[in-house]
Amino acid sequence: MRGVRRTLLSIIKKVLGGVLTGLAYYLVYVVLLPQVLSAVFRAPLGVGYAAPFIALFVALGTAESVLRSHPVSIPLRVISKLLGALILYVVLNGGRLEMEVTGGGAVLRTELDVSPLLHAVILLSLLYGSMDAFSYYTARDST
Amino acid sequence: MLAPAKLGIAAVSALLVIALFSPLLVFLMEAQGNPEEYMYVKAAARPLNRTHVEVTVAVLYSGTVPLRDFAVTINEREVAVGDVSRGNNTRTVVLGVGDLGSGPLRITALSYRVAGLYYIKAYMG
Repeated sequence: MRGVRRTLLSIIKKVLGGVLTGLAYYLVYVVLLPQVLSAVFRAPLGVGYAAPFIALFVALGTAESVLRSHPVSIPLRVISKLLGALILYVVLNGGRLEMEVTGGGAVLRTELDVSPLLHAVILLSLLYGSMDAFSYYTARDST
Repeated sequence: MLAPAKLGIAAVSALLVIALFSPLLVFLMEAQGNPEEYMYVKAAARPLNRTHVEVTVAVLYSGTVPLRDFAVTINEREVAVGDVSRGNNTRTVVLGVGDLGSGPLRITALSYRVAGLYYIKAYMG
C-alpha cells in the first residue's frame, strides 16, 4: 500500500514538474520575450493567440518530465526547444520588423532587419537543446 | 559532466547574444534619446554641364555606432555614401541630368547597416 502511494506521489510530482516547466517555457517564449522585444523595438509584436502554445508547452513539459528516464525524452527535449525557436521566429516576423519612428517632427516608416540576432539566438538555443537532450543518460544513470 | 557543459554553453551563448545585440541597442537608445539631432542628412546639386550634375550628400551623425553601406534615395535615385561614422560624412557623385527627375531634390529614403549587421531603411514622408 505504501509502495503504491509512493509511486502515485512520484507520478503526481513528475506531472506537476512538467506542467510548471511547460508554463515556464510559455511565459518565456510567448509572454516575456515578445513584451521585451516590443519595448526595445517599439513595434507591436506577439503571436496573437496563446491557448495552443500553452497546451503544447505543457504537454511537452509533462511528457519530458514523466519520460525523463526513457529514450523518447531525447526528441521531446529537442522539440520543445524547436517550438520556442519557431515562436521567436514568428513573433519577430522572420527578423523583419516595421515600425514608426518620430524624427524631425515627422513620423517615418522604418524597416529594421534583426535576422542576424534572431538566427544566432535560434542556433544557440538548438545547440543548448541538443546538449540538454542527453540529460536522459544522466537521468537513466541516477535511477 | 553534462551539467557543467550545459552551463558553459548557456553562459557563452548569453555573452554572444549580448555582444551581438549591444550595437543595435546602443544605436536605438542613442536615436531615441536625441531624435532631433541624432542624424542630419542633406543633399545639394550643382550643374556641371548640360548633361551632368554634381550631387553632394552630407550626413552629420552624432551616434557612436558606425553605420555601413549608408545610402540616400534622392527622388527615385539611390546614392551610396559608404561607411558613416561620428561627425560629418560627405560624398560627391556625378549623375546624369535625367537621373534625379525634373522636380526639386527630395530625400525620400535612407538605408544603412548598424555596425554592418542590422539593415535599416527609413522612408521620409
